[in-house]
Amino acid sequence: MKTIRFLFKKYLLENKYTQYDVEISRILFYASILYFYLTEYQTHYIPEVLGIYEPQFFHKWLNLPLPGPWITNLETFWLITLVFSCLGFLTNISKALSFTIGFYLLGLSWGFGRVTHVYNLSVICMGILCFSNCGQLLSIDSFLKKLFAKSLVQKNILLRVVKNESWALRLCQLSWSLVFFNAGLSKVLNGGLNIFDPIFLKNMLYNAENFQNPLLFDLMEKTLNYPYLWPCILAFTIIIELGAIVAFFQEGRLKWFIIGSVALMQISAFMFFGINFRKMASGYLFWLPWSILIKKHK
Amino acid sequence: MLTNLSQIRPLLAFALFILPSIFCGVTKKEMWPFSNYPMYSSTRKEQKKFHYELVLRNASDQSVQYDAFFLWPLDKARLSTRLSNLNKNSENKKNKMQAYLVYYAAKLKQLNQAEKSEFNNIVKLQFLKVFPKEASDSDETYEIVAEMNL
Repeated sequence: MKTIRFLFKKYLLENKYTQYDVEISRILFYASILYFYLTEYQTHYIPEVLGIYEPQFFHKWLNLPLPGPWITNLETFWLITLVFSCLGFLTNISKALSFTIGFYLLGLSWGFGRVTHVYNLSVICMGILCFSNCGQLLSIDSFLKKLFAKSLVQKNILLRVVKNESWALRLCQLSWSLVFFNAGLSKVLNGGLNIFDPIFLKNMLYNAENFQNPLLFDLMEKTLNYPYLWPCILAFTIIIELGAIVAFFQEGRLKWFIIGSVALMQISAFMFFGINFRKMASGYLFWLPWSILIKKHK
Repeated sequence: MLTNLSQIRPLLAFALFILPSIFCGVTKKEMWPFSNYPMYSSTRKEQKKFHYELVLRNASDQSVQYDAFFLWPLDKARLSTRLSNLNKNSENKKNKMQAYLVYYAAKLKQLNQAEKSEFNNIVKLQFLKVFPKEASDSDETYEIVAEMNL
C-alpha cells in the first residue's frame, strides 16, 4: 500500500503541469474532437433499416437503445455539449454529457461492423476530464464568476482557490501510453517473430486496399529487395510502441524522442499503408506544457 | 490511506478508465472503448484471394462511382471484411447480405430525396466477389453474390 501511495503521488499528483496547461489542453481537445467529427465522422445512420445492427459490449450489456429517428437530434445536442466543454460554459455538466453521449454515439458504429480504435483514446480522455475540475480558468464560467463577484476581495479569493488538477493530464497521458503499449504487446504476443517475415510485409503492402500513391508503392517495392531493412524498421516500431509506457514515467529528451517517434510512425503508416490516424492527434495535446510554451513565445 | 478527499477523484478515474485498459491489454479482450488490438491477432502470410465490393448499376448496366461516405458506417475494406466474416460465421449469410443491400438502398433513397442527382438512375445494387487479376488476365474477374433491383 505504501508503494502504491508513493507511485500514485510521484507520477500522478506531483508534476510540473499547471492548471493553465489543463485548461488549454481542455479547449484544444474538445475543439479537435468537434473538428474531426464535423469533417469526417458524421454518422448518416438510416434508423429505419436495422437488420444489420448487432449491439456490442456495453451497448448490449446496458441494453442501450437502438438508433432511432432521434439520432440526428442527439448528434446535434452532442456537438453543442462539445462546444460548451471547449468554451467552458456549464463546464462540469457539459463534460459529463459530452462523455456519456460520445460513449454511446462513437461506440454505435461497432454494432454495424465498423471496428475501429481511433476514437477510443478520445472517449477515455473525455471520461477522465469528467472527474477533474477543469474549467476554473480560461472559461466562460470563470469569467461569469468574476463578473458577478461583488467585491475586489471576492475576486481575489476566486483567483486564489483555483486548484491544480493536472493529475487529469497525467491520466490522459497514461492512457495514450497504454494505447501504444497494448498495440506493441499484442503484436509481440500474437505475431511473434512472424511479423518480421518479408512475405508478411509484402502482403501487407499489396493488401492495403486504400493505398493510393503509386510513387510510394514503387519505393516500397524497391525497398523490399533489401532483406534486413524492413525487419529493422518493424523492430524499431515495436520497441517504440512498447516504449510508449516509458514516456509516462520519464522526463526529458527520452520522453520527447518516444512521442516524436510514435507520431512519425503514425504518419509513415498513413503514407505507406493508407491507415489514417488523424483522429488520434487529440491525444498528443495532453503532453505539451502549454504555459511554458506560451511564456517562451512571449 | 490514499483517500483524503482531494485524491478520491483521481483514484476513481484511474479505476474506471486505466484499470480496464490494462485488463483488456493483458487479457486480449475486445471491449469498447478499452479495447486491445485484435487486428494483429494473426499475421497474414498469403495474399487475399478475393474481396467483396458493392456496385451500383444504372439502366445501361454500367457501374456508378460513389464516395467513401456512401458506405458509412463501413468503408471499402471493412465492408469486405464484414461480408467475409458473414460467410464464415453466419448461418443466414444470404439474408444478412440482403439486409446490407436494403440498408444501402434506403441510403440511396435518402440521397435522391436530397437531390443528389448522380444516383437517380440507379436500378440495381450488387455485392461482387472480386478476384485479383492475374498477369495473363486483362480484367479482374468477379462473381455476383447478392443482388437487389430497385
